[in-house]
Amino acid sequence: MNILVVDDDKEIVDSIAIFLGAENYRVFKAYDGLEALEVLAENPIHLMILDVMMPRLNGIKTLMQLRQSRNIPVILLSAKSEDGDKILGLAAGADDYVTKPFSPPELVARVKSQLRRYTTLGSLGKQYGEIRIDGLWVNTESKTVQVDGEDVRLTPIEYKILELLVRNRGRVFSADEIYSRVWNGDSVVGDNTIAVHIRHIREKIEINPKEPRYLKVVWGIGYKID
Amino acid sequence: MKNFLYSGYTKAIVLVLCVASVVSVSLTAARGIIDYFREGEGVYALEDDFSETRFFMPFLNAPADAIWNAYVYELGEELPQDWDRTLTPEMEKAVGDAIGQWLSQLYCKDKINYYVAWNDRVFTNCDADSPEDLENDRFSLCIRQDGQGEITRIYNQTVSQDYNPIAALSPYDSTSEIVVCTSIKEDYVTQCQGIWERQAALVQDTVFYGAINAAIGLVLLVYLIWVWGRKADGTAVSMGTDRVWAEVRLAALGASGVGGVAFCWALVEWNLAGRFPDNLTWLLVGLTTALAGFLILGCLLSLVSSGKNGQLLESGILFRLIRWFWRRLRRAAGWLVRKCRGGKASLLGALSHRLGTIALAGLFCYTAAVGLCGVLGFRYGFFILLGVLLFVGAALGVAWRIRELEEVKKGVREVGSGNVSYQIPALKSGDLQQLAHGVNHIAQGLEASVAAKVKAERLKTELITNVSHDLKTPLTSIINYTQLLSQVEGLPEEAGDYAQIIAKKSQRLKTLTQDLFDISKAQSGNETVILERIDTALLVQQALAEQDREIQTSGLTFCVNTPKELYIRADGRKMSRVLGNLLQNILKYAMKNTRVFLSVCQEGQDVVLEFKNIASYPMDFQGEEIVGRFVRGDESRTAEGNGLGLAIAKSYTELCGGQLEIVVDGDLFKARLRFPTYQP
Repeated sequence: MNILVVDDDKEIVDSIAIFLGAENYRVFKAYDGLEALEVLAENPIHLMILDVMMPRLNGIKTLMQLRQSRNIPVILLSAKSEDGDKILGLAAGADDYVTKPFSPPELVARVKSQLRRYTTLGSLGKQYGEIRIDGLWVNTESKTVQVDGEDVRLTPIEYKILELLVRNRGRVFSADEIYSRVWNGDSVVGDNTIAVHIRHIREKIEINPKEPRYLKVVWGIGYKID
Repeated sequence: MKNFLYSGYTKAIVLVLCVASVVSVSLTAARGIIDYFREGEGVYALEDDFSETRFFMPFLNAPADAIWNAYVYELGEELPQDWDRTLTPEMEKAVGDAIGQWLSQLYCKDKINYYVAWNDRVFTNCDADSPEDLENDRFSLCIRQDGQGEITRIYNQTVSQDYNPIAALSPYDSTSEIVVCTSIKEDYVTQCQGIWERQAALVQDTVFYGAINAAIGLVLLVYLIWVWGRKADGTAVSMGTDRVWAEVRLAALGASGVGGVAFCWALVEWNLAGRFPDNLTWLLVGLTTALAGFLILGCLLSLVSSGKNGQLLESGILFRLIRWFWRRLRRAAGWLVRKCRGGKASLLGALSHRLGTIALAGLFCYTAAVGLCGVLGFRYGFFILLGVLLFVGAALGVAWRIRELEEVKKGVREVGSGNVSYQIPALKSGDLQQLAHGVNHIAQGLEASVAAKVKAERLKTELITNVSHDLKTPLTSIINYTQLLSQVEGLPEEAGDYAQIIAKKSQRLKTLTQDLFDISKAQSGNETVILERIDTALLVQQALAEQDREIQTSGLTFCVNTPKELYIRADGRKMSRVLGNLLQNILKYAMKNTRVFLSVCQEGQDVVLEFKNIASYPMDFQGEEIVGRFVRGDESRTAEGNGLGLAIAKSYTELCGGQLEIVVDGDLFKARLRFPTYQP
């Protein structure tokens, strides 16, 4: 697989290239948006890691230009960690947003996840009773869960909670609601079992549980899956 | 010489002399009048001119009057309409007797001789045998009426006198023969002439002496007027009354004069009537005149002094009023001329300026005109038409102006509701144009200040962002290459350890950078909060769940008491950070194997979250200190932590509308979060 890494900081590009190289990916380098587009035009690229703040053509504009013709996964890399920046990046067409400084293993994991989704899994047809949310696939028939093609083992309770949230994508459930639906009873006062379960689910399905992609905590209100 | 003329003493003496002369004039006049009248006592009916004939006429007419009275009283008014004015014998006798009686009772019997023949009867008070005897006296009057009503009059002096009582008898009697002859007794005539001569002499003397006195007084007055109000060297001397209204002083002057004269006249009359003795009269007249004289002179000289000091006109109210009016008029006229010269547009513009004033003036003129009509009795038509036209014109002008006012109002509304770039278009009305300019000016100012503020905010945010970006970029490389370093094979063990240390420290730097960024944003007001209804119990549970692993391995026992249904209004994400920071502190600094108490409860109107733990080290700081930036409880600053945790927690709590309080009590560390209870 070919990966294009774009950043105006040469050392960062090199270090990413080394990490990816260790995973047997072929890495192309570019140091600004225009150069990136040139490389894209001349070579088959399967994924792009793109810095936002670059001279000549910045990341967002490059991304928008790219999206006019290609739909390869793009991971944005930026020191800007504000919500607004993330929303902007994702709205411009990025598939993921990683803030600097990042943990290199995490970046690699994300690259892998994106590639899996894009290549092998893209061709797999949807199965009956399967709910797909990006890389999170929940098969309600077989009660199995896969993230980016890899099976995830959940306890029955964890599965029930996940299925509830996945079936009602975007809706916020309070702990009481989850309790009543999953256990069919009233919640015990002061019990934080639900919160702990959620935490465990996150650790299993998310690349970075602290920055979950799927299972989000709506603080003080409840939980949802986006 | 000049000093003598102008000196105060001279002026005073002259003033007294002037008054003295006036007094003597009035005394002379009073004396003269009184003597004159006394001479004439017993001489009735003083005539306008001293013509003797006129004086005697009433006496000469007395017998004829008596006859007339006799007729009237005897015959009265009860006569039939068609009476032929012929007396019956009874009537004749009655009237004849009456005539005799009236004549015998004449008031001036002792002054006149009369001979009256009426039909057959004759009445006389002297020894005249026929009317002709009296005709030759100096003052006489004879009237005859024959049986046919022909009347002849004979006077001995050529005097036109229409007095003819005989003719007035015609309604009563047209057939009687009447002869009336009267003459003034000679000795009475002589007596009267004597009186007149003495009176004439009296008048002459009085007038002569009075004139002399008056002339002296006049000269003195002229002198006073000339020197008053100035000193010898020409400097002004004011009397202190300079600013009293001129009208008031004039009025005082007039009042004194009139009052003085009236009182003196009254005194004279009382004296003549016998109620006042002479000496008292002279005294009082003198005093009154002196008083009035001083007053009059005082007012007059005060006016003179004002005049000399240029204050006279100023002190006059009427003058001031007139001057004010005149100035206004001149200004308005000048303005009008200027506008006319400026051409039609300028004139119209100026008129629209003053539309209100013109309308008012029109109203005034109209009212005045109508009033004038009423007073002078003119026909109303033209003035009413004029007034109506003025009003219609003014009303139209006002309506036109109001239309433009709408533009201004719209402008103010737009700017007020936030559209600061709105500009009111150019108006035709001059006054409103100024207002519109003012509003546009304000809007521009607002727009500029809003733009400036926005720019300032943007710069601030950019600064924070740029600084953090410049910190994070090299840090990224540090972390990446440290990682790579630790993966290199064949390194000596120390190298790997060193790499580990660098990795750990660079993680700390990363945390510090992010925390710095967060606290700067929170404290510079660049942080936005989304306030929602937060279930505190759930919040605490979620926070605990996030750190579940660390809690399990910490050796601490968490006692959690979170009742349900306690809601607050806060930003969930920020609060998760707050609780997360507090929990991290607990995990870092709590003494091992102790209990940690987390509780949520309702206190009055507020919801309070309380986190209590025992510290593993002696805390020698105060609650207020520890929440400060970069303040660490651990003085050696070796443990993980940068001193921003509590500062961030406090900032975020306050952003959500709550309060964070740290209480240090011996080894007990208490964090209290207070929020108002959620109100829908």
